[in-house]
Parts: sequence; C-alpha cells; structure tokens
Amino acid sequence: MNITRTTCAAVSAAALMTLAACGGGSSDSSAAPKDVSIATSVPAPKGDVDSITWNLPAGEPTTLDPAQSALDSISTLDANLCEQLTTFGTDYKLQPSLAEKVTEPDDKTFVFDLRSGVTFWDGSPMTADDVIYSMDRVRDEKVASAWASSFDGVTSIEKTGPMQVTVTFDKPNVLFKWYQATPAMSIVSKAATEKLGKKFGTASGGIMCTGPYKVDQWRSGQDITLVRNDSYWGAKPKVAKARFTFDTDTSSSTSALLRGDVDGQWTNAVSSQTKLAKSDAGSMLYGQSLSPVFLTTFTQDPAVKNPDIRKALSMTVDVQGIAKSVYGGAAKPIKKLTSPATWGYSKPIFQAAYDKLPEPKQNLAEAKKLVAAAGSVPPLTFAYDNGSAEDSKVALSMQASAKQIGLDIELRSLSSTDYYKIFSDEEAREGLSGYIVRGYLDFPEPLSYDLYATQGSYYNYVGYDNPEYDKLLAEATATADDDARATLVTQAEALRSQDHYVIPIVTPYIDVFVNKRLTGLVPSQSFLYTPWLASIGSTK
Amino acid sequence: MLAFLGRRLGSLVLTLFVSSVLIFGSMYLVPGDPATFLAGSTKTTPAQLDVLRAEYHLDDPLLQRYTEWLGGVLHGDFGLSLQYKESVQDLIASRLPTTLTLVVYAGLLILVGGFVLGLVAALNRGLVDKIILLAISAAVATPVFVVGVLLLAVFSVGLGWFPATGAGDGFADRLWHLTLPAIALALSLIGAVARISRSSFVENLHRDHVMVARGRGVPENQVVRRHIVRNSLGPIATIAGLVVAGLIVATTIVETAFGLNGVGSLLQASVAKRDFPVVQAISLLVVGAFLVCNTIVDMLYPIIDPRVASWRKAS
Repeated sequence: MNITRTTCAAVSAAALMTLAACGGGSSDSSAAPKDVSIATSVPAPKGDVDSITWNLPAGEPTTLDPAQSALDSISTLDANLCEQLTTFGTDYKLQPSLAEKVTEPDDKTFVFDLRSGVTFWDGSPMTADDVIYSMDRVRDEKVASAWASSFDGVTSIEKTGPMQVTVTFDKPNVLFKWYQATPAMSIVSKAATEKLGKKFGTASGGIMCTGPYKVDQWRSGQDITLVRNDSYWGAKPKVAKARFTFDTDTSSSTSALLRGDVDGQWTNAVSSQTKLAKSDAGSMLYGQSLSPVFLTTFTQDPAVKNPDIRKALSMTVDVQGIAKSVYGGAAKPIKKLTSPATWGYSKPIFQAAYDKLPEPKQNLAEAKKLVAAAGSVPPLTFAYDNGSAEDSKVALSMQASAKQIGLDIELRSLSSTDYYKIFSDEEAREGLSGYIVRGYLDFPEPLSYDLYATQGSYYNYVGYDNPEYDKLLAEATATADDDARATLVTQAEALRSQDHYVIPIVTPYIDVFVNKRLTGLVPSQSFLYTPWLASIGSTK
Repeated sequence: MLAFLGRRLGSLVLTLFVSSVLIFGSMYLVPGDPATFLAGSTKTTPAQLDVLRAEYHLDDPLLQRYTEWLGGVLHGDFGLSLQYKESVQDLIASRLPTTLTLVVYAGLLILVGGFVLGLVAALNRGLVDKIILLAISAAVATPVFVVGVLLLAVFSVGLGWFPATGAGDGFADRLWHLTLPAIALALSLIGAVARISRSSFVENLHRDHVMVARGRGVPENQVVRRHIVRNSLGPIATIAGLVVAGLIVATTIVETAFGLNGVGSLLQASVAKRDFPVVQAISLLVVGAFLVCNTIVDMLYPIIDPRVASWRKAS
C-alpha cells in the first residue's frame, strides 16, 4: 500500500530522472526473483488479437501532449500514437520514420526529407509545415516542454522544399541525431493542435498524430482506449484495440495480472516480480536499461567537500548486496553512470576504459582508514524518494555500512513530490549532503549524460567543477567521428571517476510482464519512444 | 418544522462558507511553489515559471484569488486542475459514480450488518454475544488496506470470484467489481455501528416499559420491535450518519488499494501533486456531505422519536 506510488514516475524529467521500477510495496526483498535473464528475442506473434488490457502503474496520464511526454504514463502511450522523424529499434539503432532520409551536408546542418503519403488520423496529409510547427512548439517557452533543450543552439528551422525541412545550428551538435527519435520531434497536426488550443492533449480535447494507433476514447479517471489506425503508412499492427488502466497499487495490479484481467504491465514492483515470474499466467521479461542508480553528493556541503570522505563513501556502499537483495538480481553493479548498455557506438574504446576502472566492491577497512585520517566529520544527510521501495532500501543499506567505518548518515525520507523538487528547486537542496538518484539516458550516447556535470548545465547544481572535464566534453560535443568522440568522453569520465562526486551503484533492468496469450514484445527501455504495442500479437 | 429546517439550512450555508475560507487559506500554508509542480521537475527556466504563474494567477493577492474562486464555485465552476488542465468539476463528475456506488454499497453493508449483528448480540447474551464482540474487535482493529490485501488474495487470486481492479461497466458489472472494495470499506465500520447498536439495545433491554410489556404477555418479537429497537434508534442514527459521511474520506484508501479511480483516489493523488483546485473542490464536497448527512439525521429524529418533535416545538 504505497500512497506515493502514483507520483513516483509522474514528475520525471527527460534527463536525469526515474524511468522505471517505481515499485512500491513493502514485501521482503528475499522474495524477489532468483533467475533473472535478459530477453533479447521472443517468439514472433502468429495471429491477430481483438483487444488487450494494459496497466499503467504510474497512474493516469495527465495529458497526451507529446511535448510533455517526459513522464512514464504519457510516454508509454504516446510512443504508440505519435511518431518522430526517426525511431529507435529495440537495440537503439536509429531507423527512418516520418523522415525517409536525413542528411548532414555539414556538421551544423540537418536536412529532413519527409515521407510522402503520410496522413494524420483525421485524413489530412502530413506536411513540412506540420514538422516545423511541431518543432517550434516544443521550443516555445509557454509550452514548457521538457524537450526544449534539444534545440539549444538552433539558428533556423526552415522549409527547403515541399517535403523538406532543414535545421541549422550555430555550432556542431552530435546529440541532435538522437533527439530526432525522441518526443522532442514528435510530429503533431498544426491545424488540429491550433484548433484545440488549451484543450490539446487533455481527456476532452485529445491529440492528432500519425502513429499506428489512435485514441478511441479517454474516459477521465477510468481508462484510455487506443484503436488501430487503419490508414497507417507502415506495417499493420496485430492488436486491434488496447485499453489502458491506471491502477497504481502494487497488490491489486499484480492480482489483476495473475488473474489475466490485465494482459501486461511495464515496470513491475520488485516485490511482485517473483509472484509474476512463477505464475503460469504469463512471463516476466527483462531487458538492459540505460538507467543508473547512484548516490550523488553536493560538493558545496562541507561534510562531503573532502574528496577522501567521498572516496570512503564509494568504498562503503555494498553494491553487490544491493543488486542481489534489494533488486532481487534484476540489477547489475556498475563502475560508472554510463554503463555498458549506454554505449551506442565505439564499444571497444568504452570497454577498454571501463575495464581500467576499479571493481565496485565494498572495502570497509580501507574506507575506515580514510575517515580516520580526515579527523572529525559532521553527520552527512542524504535524501531519497520513499515512493520507491528500492531506493529506501538502498538508503538504509548505505547508512548501515557507513556506520561501520565511523561515518554518521542521517537519512531524509521524502515523498516523491518533495523528492523531485531537489532537481528543480534550490531550497529543496538545503542542508543535504546528497541524494540517491535513479537517472536515465534517453539514448545510448554517454556524452549526453556526462554533460550534466559541466559548468553551466542546469543539472550541475551539485557543484562539480573541473575545467579539464568541461574542455574534453565541449570538444566531444563538436566531434562527429565516433571513435574520436568516444576517446574524449572516456577521458572525461576517468577524470570524474577520480573525484567520486557521484557514486555509481547499480543499473536496474527494465521489466515487463506479458500474458501467455500474447508475444512479440522484446523488453527495452525504448518502449518509451517506439510503438511497442505494434509488435504484440497472439501466440496462436 | 419549517423554521427548524430554515435554521438548519442557514447554519449549513454558514458552515460551508467558513469551511471554504479555511480550505482555501490552508492551501497557502503548504510550502512549495505550485508553479514548480506545474512544470514537474523538468528543466524549467525562470521565464517558463513566470509564464505558468501568470496563466494560473498564482501571484495574485490571496483575497482576490479567494473571491474569484468563490465566485466561480457559486456558478458551479471550480477552476482548472493544475495537473490535468481539465475543469475540476468534469474530473470529479467522471469519478463520482464509482465513489457514490461504493459509498452506498458499503453504507448498506454497514447499516444492515451493524444493526443485525448488534441486535443478535444483544438478544443472545452469552457465547454468541462473545463471538460477535470478538469478531467486531478484530474487524475494527484491522487496517483497511490489510483487509484489502487479504480479500484480494483469497477471493480474487485464490478463488477467482471477483476481479482485482477496475470499477466495471454497467450496473451488474459494477456491483461485481465493487463488492470486495465495499466489504473492505465496511468491515471496520460495521464493527463501530454494531457496538453502538448492541449497547443501545442492551440498555433498553431491561428498561421498565420492556419489563411491563413482557409481563403483559406482549409477543417477544413485538417487544423487540416496538420497545427495544425503536427506543434504541436515536444513538444508532447518530453514529450511522457520521459513519456514512466519513465513508467518502475512507474511500481514499480503499480506492487506491483496489485500483479504483474514484474521488477518493483523485483526492489522494491531488494532495500529493499539490493540485490545489482539485483538493479544494473535493474538500468542500466532503464537508458538504458531512453537513447534509447530519442534517438528514437531525430531521429523522422526530420520526424516530416523536418526543424530540415536541421538544423542538416547545423550544
């Protein structure tokens, strides 16, 4: 019974925020799944399905406006409704979508040749004007989109042909190609959006996109039903109708999955995963995520200003124990925030650098020496989101370990709403030495995440200040060559690792439960941005 | 009677007005800037926050905002939800049927169950009484969400008789979906009503007029109906009124536990997200429901007990 569960994923930002496992419940972690294996392929679907029911554990979406789609519930639906210029495969390889072809005549210019013959659900054709309108809308301050920063440095967005749009930047930008496949570039109908005005995205107004599914009915407080878009330009999905429910309670939503009343759910609570894994109602599937769980320190806080104290902390956290007992094996210890799954290119270079980093292992004796040498250390205060059963347990584990090396940690348990204010509100950070974060990358480009620790970044309120680090990443941002960029990124990451201002803990897996009558769904974090519903079909 | 009704209505309106001031004012005691909640925790620039504040009139003076809000409320307009950007009354209206059905269903279970259990216990002092008292204590002591989890495990997953989530469509389906939640909601409150009923019945059991009636050879079931039950109804009606009014608040936990999207779960989510307009509207609704229930009980008194009517006339 977790009252704050609903709010858990509800206020996540496009960047540094929770993705998954806003798992509530308070059941014993020893009851977590034992054999966790990653499913990279599943049997192909055989037949059509009339109707499925799917639950959104983060609760009812507050809107369906793709510009606001940084929240779990919204993204899970919008991924099937609105399309971007390009799209991710389950392996995060970029594929064409509404743009048939993307060319980069120079490293500051992107030319999009739009797919012809694409229509919105109302039958009107998608044009270059709709694309420009959608981009400008995300950039509009009044829309307050979480994706606005994707366009930082844009100098112009122009129609350069009947079905061609050109975007230019003031300097080279290697991140923009990834953003093309995120809601930053979800295309909405200009005419319909303008006509709906403030009603756009709401239960009574709805949205107008081009995706394989369209909104049939949104009964506020009850459910949202999507139906197949029969005039879709791409392959015809097998599921004709999908009803989404908003049950935020772990116990009743798990019961509904076990009974088969509900066919599936992304991001199940760890406490429910065993029951679901054992059940013959369906299968519990896991995939790699781009998400790290870590402890971040506010270096302005005198208590953690001393790098030796931070180093001692990093040696204290029982990462192996946390992966096993808190996450029931559905997580892996990591050496740095950008774990192997986040290397979307130049893997050998990233791997070599990763191998050089020390193993994440508890070393209390060494940590104790560092603390003793530091003299008297005031108690540290760390915050965590009590809406996540996992985060709460990680915090307690950390506190217990620190006690053994002579560090006092005070924990500040915050409701999800208050916790998320840490990211946006200076006042909320007062008196904190740091907090436990469940972050995520939107795409496998470590650079995007590392940039948050540079001077001038909105998220660098933790006070990380290393001119050498900033210089390396600035160069990486303008380096189009993958290997050269990977080298710069790994050099910067090595510098940051030495400073221990963030302490990586684990990367949790993404999980999904699917009823046995269905198949086709490969678990991947890309479900937030790609039409995952279109891959599901009947096993028979 | 009319004058009494007028006085009651007058005080009802006055109480609602005072409540509205308290409810509206208390929102300002909550720390935190609603604009930052409006923006979520996404990367918002100060300029974006200013735009949001202006749009939702967050910077207007308190009195101005209150009078504007009250003006709207009097016209049946509770404003826009901060998180859903939908009209508050629409949000509540779409969730009200679930909650009302749940409250009526649970209310019936509580009144009938509490009354019958109290009567059976009072008339069968001894083993039956002890068993009922024990069961009542257990029911009252078990938290609603524990009952919810137990009911789900046994009757939904185990036996498969009832669905685990959702409110259902159509009358019969809805009743089927709401049975477990209604039982979870009713269980502890049945105990409260049963306890009061039992002691009220017991108190009347040995009254002189009951003895006299029995002595005269009036049939036992008539004695129970006319003399014991009738005279015990006052306190039972009072507790019943309070219990039924309180049910709306209690739905908060039950609706969440059973995955029902009613007014209760909307209130809970809105409090967590600082969605002020929704919290204000539901709070006012709950106060109103309390007042109406109490007024109804007050008006029932003269019917239950004619002596009350004559006192009121005299005063």
